[in-house]
Amino acid sequence: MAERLEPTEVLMLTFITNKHDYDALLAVLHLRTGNTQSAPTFITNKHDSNAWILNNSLEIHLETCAWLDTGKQTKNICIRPVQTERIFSFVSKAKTAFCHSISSKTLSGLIVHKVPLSAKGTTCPQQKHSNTFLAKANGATYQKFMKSGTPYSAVSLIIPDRQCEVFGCLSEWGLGNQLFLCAHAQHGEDDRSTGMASPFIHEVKWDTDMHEPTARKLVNESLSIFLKLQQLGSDTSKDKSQMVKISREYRSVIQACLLELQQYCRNGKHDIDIKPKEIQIKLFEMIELLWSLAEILFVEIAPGGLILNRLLDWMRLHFVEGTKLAKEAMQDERPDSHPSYWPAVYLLALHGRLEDVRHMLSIHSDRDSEPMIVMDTLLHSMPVFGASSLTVELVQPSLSTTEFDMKWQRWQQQCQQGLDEEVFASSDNLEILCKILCGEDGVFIDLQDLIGSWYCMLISRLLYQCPVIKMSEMQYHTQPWDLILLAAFECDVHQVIKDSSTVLGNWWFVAHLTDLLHHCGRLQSQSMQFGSNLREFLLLEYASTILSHDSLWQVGVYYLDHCQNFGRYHLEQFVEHFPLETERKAQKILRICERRDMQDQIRSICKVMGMKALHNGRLGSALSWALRSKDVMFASIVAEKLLFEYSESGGFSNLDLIDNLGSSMLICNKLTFLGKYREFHKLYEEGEVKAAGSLLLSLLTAKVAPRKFWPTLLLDALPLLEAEEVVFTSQQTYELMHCIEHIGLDHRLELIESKDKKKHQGQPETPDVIEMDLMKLALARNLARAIVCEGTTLTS
Amino acid sequence: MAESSSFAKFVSEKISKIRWQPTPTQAIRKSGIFATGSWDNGDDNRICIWNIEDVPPTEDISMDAYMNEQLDAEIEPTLLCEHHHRGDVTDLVMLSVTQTWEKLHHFPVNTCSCTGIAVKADDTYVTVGEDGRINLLHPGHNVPVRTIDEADNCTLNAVTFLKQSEAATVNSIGQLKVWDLRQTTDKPSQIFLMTGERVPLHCIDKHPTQPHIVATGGEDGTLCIWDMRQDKFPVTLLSAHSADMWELKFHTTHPDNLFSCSEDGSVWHWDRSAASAYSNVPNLIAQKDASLFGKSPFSSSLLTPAASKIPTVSSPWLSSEASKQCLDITDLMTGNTMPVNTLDIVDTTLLCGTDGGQIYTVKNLIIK
Repeated sequence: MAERLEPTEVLMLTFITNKHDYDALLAVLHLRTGNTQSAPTFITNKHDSNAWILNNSLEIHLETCAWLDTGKQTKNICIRPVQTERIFSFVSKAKTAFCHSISSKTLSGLIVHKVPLSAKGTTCPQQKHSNTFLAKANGATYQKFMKSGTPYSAVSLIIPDRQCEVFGCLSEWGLGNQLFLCAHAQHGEDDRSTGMASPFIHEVKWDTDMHEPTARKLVNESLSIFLKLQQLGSDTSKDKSQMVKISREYRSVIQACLLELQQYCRNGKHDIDIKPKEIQIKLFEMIELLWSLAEILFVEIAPGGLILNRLLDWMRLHFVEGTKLAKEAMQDERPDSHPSYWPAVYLLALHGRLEDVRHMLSIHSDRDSEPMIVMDTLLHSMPVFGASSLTVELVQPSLSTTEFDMKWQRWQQQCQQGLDEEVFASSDNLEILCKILCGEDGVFIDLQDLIGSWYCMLISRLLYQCPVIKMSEMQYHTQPWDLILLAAFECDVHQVIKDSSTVLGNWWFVAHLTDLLHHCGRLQSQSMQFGSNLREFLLLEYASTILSHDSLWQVGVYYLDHCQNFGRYHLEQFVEHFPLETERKAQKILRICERRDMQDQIRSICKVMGMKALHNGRLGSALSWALRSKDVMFASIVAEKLLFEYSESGGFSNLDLIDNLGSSMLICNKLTFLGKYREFHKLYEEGEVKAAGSLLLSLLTAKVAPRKFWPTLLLDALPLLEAEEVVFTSQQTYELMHCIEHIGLDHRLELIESKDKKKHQGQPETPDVIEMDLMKLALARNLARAIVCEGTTLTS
Repeated sequence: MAESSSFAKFVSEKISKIRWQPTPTQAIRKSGIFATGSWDNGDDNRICIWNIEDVPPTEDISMDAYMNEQLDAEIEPTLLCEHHHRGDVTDLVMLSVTQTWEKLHHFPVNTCSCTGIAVKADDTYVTVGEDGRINLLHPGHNVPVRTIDEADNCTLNAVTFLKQSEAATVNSIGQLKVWDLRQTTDKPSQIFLMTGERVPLHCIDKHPTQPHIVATGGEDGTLCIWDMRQDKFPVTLLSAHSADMWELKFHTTHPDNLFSCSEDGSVWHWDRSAASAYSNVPNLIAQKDASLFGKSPFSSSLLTPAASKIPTVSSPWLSSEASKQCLDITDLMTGNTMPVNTLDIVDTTLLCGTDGGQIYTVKNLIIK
């Protein structure tokens, strides 16, 4: 349960530093890119290569952080005690900022609760997220109640940290299925920095049942249905057939999952494997049952609101006990003496499958007796309203409700008559059957055990007592049993959704059903207290669970697209926190951002990738990432590195990239200089000395070149000055002389400024006087040649 | 020919690569075996071997019944075996060698992903990685036979063999480099580049019969056709998908057909066969013109040599703007939203794998 602390913790930092200081951000990004295996080396490595990044502006010193691997299950960030307090307070401040920024907009479960030392043993369930996560802090133990399937299963988790035992826990919600914990003693309400107790921050992550392999297929498959539904839009709310089709598609996906799970259980050998699958099967069966009922009641509303036939179909499909009993009896040599015979007959009758009842009776040994014949006629003549989609019975389409009602009354009178005249006195069983047909209350109570669940009872009674039940009248016939089904029969859509989200461990069902109902126009937009509507809230929840999965995150993005109010905000948060292991993944995430025009996130991702490349010594890659996000600061940092490399080694690396910069070199001065300087070298190599010379001069005079590079540039001019043909004109030579004076001046100024400091440090840095003198000499000679040359060309 | 039909099989992981088992050239029927690799599944990715055999081998049913069944039933791939793999599967080649090379690609401290592998004649492998390194491997040798460390400044995204000892790589700043592996210098023998913006190239494939023709696909979804014999720049640029093109493949036996797949969820079938018919047309026109204009044998003889050059120079893929309209493009995956990472085609059956964890099989494609 407690899992690797991937860069997440640091991601938090990223988020905050983002706002404050660029340099600190880079430092932090540096951490973010480290994965857990390579982190330690990576930390030790950073001094030499990245000292320049740390400006100390936020006083984050990377050396104070180290990664510690404490066994297989948990990995923690360890912050060394010396600097702990400062850093930790920063982290925690930052986290609160993060926390507030979310909770002020949505209520999606970011809360902080502290467990003071004194409160050891007492619970503090200050949770708002009641239906997914109930958290109890109890000293060192963090108990998590997860609801998978119907039973509440408690998972308790020991945080391997003695500090937690001593001080108690502080916890905070992360993104999605994520929770951060640390040992924390409470001193004052808002005094976190002083209350810091432990150098460890623990991350707790958990999977929901939607992360199982089979369920992942469900997640992926339902996405396309979801998107199709969104495309239909809500204007087509009148078009019922479309909605029914969509609803059936959802159901077929569930059924496919069920089939696969059942197959797995049949083939499985080990109990350990099968057990969880069986729980899943139960869950999916329940979802399917609920969905199909919801489909009948809320989506596919029969004309005139007459729903009994549909309900019967529903019952027949999901409760197959009757068929099973009948089969058992029929396989016997003498079916009518089999103990299941009569129960089967009753059940079939209760399910309204009268043809099957007649079939059963026709094989009874006394089939030619008087009461049997009467019963058969009665069964045969029962009026049926409308057509059921399953039974092939005679359709009487022209029958109006009142006509049917009259017919029904007459038929039931016949049954009653038979009962009163004691036609069936010879057979108890037939009498019971007849009582069912008459819809006598007593018989239903007697058969309670056979009928099983209350909803079957409800439908059976409706069938024989009130066949023309209308949708709107349903609520008067329910009794307080199973909450959700009850709510469904009461036509309380909101209650159904509310109860389902409490009982079911996953958001899949509620999110999709709500969305479907929303499109059917069955859902009055009920605004929630945090500003978005129910549909969006559920979709956000579902998307969050999907997005916290390592692999499914791409699916979640599409759901967030359809959350108008907060979808984008959530996406921005998530996108910045995906771990970027490979360039391909980065590319995919970038594409997601580009499609949605999320410039800040693009910049952040490119920066992370760029820094990663930089630390791996891949300046070319780093520069290409910088250019991609048009990140001026980062580009100039990389350009500076490249220039530094040149001045160290005397040769350019990464020529492929530098030579092909094109217009993108204009992104920052340093890169422009780098590109142009390389161009100068190229021209020089190609023997285009004149062009090379004027380019060099323009680099100096246009102030593109950084000051500290001027001496190098002037030295580059030396061979040109000494060239056989006169490269620089007198005017150009004057300008070069100007530059050399500037350098001298700068140097003297520097000397004066640093005189006091340098005194203590011994010798002041000696300027390259000889080089400069050489330069001056060359300039003088060139000037002479140029003047002579110009003079002769003028006169000739 | 029967209508092409597609079928999706959902698996519980995102597919990064899919490959048919290579068939021996003399085999009449293609094998129904293919391999998939997954990515981004935490630390537990898989390489799976699947079978999509057309004929169910065990069932004993009459031919008629079988025919009917086959018309209706969508044939589902069955899993033969799987192997767990820690990192993302980036490329996949089916070989008959068992050997592991550790840490072929690496950064000074961190691990580095190897992005592509190419195989020539079963005993020469080339790998490329994010570290811009090229490794040349031989089975039986535990260390690379040759390593070019600073082969590229940027990430190398894919590699393919052009000739026996010549490999082409594409990188993330839009460059295509050709390496002669016999040479001792660590410099590419040729560099080609995209004009303008540095668009990262993701994939490369060479024409099966004309090794100088190479197709690449990149971040912007554009299909580029390059002629290794001449230009520094691509010969043809065809803007295609609306997002990254992840893989492209020439049909091995019908190279006028090309397939590409993209992040935007589409898989395209590029059919240039009309153009190859068309490329002979100018000849006819030219001759017709000649016969119209010049009644004398002189003028016609003057035109023919010029015209007769066309077929020798141009493959339909290299021919110019004029024949662009002869390119038929079909989207094979309408309605798919999840990114398609990979595809492979043998005969008339196309396989592709998506981020939605689907393996699509498109059967009975019309290949001309």
